[in-house]
Amino acid sequence: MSVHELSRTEARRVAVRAQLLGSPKPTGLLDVVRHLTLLQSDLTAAIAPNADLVAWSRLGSAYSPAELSDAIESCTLIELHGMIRPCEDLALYRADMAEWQGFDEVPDWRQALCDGSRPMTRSVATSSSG
Amino acid sequence: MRWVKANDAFRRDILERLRCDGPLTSRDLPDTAAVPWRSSGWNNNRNVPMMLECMVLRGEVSTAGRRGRDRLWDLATRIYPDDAVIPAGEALRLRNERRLRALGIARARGPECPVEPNDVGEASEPAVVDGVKGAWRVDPALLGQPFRGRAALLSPLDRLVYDRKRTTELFQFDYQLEMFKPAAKRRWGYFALPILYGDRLVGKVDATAERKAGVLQVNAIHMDMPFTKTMTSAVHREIKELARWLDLELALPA
Repeated sequence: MSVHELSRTEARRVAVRAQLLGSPKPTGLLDVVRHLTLLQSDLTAAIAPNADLVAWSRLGSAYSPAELSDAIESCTLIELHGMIRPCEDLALYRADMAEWQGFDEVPDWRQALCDGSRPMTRSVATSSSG
Repeated sequence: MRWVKANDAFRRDILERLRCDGPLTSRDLPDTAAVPWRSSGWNNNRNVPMMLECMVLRGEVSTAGRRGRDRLWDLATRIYPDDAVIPAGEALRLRNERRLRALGIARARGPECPVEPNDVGEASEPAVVDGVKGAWRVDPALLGQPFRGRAALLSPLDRLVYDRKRTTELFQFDYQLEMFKPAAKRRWGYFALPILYGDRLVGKVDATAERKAGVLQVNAIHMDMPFTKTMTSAVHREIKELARWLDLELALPA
């Protein structure tokens, strides 16, 4: 298989389009979530909860947070370990669940998930770029 | 897992309670733990949340929507679709492909991340980026396509910028979520929104939704490069739109 050679500009454009941030905007919350595969659930109130803010940034102001809560209530979208995913994608996690034997040591972030102290948010906040 | 094994009756109590009365909030579930989860913080009520987490990992329990701000839990059999389980190896391959389709270009292997990786294994096809070291994986369906960009305000947790190393390497954009930093040490703000313009990340918006005052308070618009008039208009339009969507008045920096 030959190796694709991209300029930085081409690489950025690939990344932007993959994340549905090109023009024109996508329509339809479920299609957006199915393509992005997830919306991270973080309820920091500085602007809007992350899942809503990401949805708005793709769909524009036609998007209403009620659409997301309806989808979660109907279990069309399911939150798994803090990530909101399409229900049909749960099939991709169930084999690992059936084989899960447990941890010897529970990672700190796993404990933090249980008491709502936003470990994923902390982890990305402290991750370095270099 | 030792703690789950030692608390088998506790686990069954939760299953039974959910079977009868699910969906329920974690507060509604009985804490009959024989061996408590050791707590290092001020909050000692960790038995039920930790057992639920283990039961999710075992595929026994699932989140089942929310009641207000409270998460609901139920038997996984009631929530997960009846689709056939995909074998683990195939599932991993599919997850990697799906992730690459969402990211467009990503490393095959990267540092371990909680819950969701930034890397994609040997998904799709190999690529190199001029001026950037190392190999990437790329979704070829996105190559050779016309590009039309827009201005967008992104969440600090947006997946476009979540992999900070990729953000630096491809976008040459310096960014960090600063909410956990002391205020005096912040460069861009508590919850600064990266600004996308076309295929470049060009700055950050420092703003807060002051709901009691009914205002989106914009503290600063940080520009990483000089903004053209067109860029400034487009960014201001997005900020206005954000205020409108939040149903707030807009207060721009003086």
